[in-house]
Amino acid sequence: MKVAFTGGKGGTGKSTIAVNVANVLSKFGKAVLIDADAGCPNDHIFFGAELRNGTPVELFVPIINDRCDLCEKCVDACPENALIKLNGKIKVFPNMCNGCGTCKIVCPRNAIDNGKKVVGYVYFSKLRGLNLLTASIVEGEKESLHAINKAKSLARGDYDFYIYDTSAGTGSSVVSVLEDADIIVAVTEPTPFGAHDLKLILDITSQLNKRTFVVINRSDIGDNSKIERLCNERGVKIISRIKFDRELVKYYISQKLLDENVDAYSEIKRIANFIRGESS
Amino acid sequence: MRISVGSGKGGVGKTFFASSMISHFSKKYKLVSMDADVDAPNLALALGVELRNRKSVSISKTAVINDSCIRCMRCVEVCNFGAARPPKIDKFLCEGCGACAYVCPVNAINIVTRKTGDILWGKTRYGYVVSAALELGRSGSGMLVDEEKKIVEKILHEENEDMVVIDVPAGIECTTISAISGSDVFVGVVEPTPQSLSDMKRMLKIVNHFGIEYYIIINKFDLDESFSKKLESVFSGRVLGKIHFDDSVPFSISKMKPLVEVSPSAIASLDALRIFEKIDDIFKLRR
Repeated sequence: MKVAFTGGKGGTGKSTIAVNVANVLSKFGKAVLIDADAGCPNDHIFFGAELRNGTPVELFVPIINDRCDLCEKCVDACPENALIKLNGKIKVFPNMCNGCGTCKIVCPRNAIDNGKKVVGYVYFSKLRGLNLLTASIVEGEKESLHAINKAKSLARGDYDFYIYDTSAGTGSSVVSVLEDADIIVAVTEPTPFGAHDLKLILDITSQLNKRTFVVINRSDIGDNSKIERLCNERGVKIISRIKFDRELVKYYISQKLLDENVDAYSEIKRIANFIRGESS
Repeated sequence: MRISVGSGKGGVGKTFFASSMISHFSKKYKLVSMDADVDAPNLALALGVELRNRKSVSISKTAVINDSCIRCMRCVEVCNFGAARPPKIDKFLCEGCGACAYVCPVNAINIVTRKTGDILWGKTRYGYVVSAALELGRSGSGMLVDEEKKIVEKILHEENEDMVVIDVPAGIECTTISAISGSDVFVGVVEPTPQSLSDMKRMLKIVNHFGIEYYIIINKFDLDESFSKKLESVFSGRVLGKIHFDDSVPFSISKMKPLVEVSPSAIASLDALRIFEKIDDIFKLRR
């Protein structure tokens, strides 16, 4: 069973809910949490874990060898303008290269060798009964996709539950995660921003034809009717409402997972149970 | 002066801060505001303004497979984005690089231009506001931000505006990089959580790479005063001010108006106004 937590808007509680639901699910089966917010990965912080000994995420970059006769076919073909002819040589700008490899394909003289650059790391952390894979890009890299794909490929195993935590937004790196999921849980908040961004996510999940459910976080700080109406129109079920609780903030800051001492924990268990029900 | 407001982490109060800052400075200066969060644009919502001008931008490229495909799978071998799935192309993943079209032995793949998104802008009671909306799930968000910046520069040139405020999206990927490059000053909003600190440190690596002068605002500082103290020492000499946690912030969001207008005497408004005075001093020095 693969479940993806997403939401569009940042800071709605995606990670808090994904991490704590993963923790509950790990009591019922083998579970792996995949932090797919490769720009700003935070799930490990909830466990107080450090990211160490990452597996590098490598991407092709061209190296021009002596066979180059300056025909400039690679320069013309490069979609990112990462190659230019300069002082009688083809110069490569690795920072601009997206690793597509088109230059190598079009080169008629086999003058391009395989170089590589590290665009990110995937970290593996073993936490009480739960495995965590964290995708993380090198600061300055533009794309999360390759680090996320690497994390996905490293998560292959006989897991009962794969829990993905996406980044904010609706870009292609978010979609690539949603595509992989069996069910999607969109975490939103009852504000005009939450509703606006939830609509964008629901547009995507319906195009992807994925079973989607909604959690309204901080449900008592605003008017839920807009979100209820939207979910009604789309035939999307609201599976949980979590009230704002300053106590939760304390757990967050002290890097503690939620437990029976906070009201929200019953909602976390409800979401986990719902996912278990969907997977059987 | 171009000021970008960012946080790395979402939901720490960046749009609340930016919208109040825009409201404040629009009374004093000729302002252009830009929402660089093209994935999920919210600034026009936060200001409660309607943008009347619209320009469609089509600079994204994608591969399209036609009927002559013989399922040889050469395209799958060369596609580094996992988008080639003959006889189809995954429209969300394709970057339009064209590698597949070069290797296809039967010319079954064409590279076509497709819509990247829309840019929306207009003159509002807060001066000019520029926003953009990326087509769902499309790559090329950084390019759309670059197009937005062209509109901003055109307005600056024609109208002689004084100040640009840029609302930077969450994350540190291409939209963020495009949004902050060219800024004179970066204002980073953090909350007293280890998550927010971790994300801001990553964000500042990019800010420093561009050599942009930066300042830090600690929002909701009283949620954890001891962690806020830690933030003050980590960002020592860069902290412009602290803002209280205040229930009137979500209230102002529900009213779709900047906090400093809805609740001018709220404690978070007063905190923010003190910070705006300091930003004003920086602006006057740099002008």
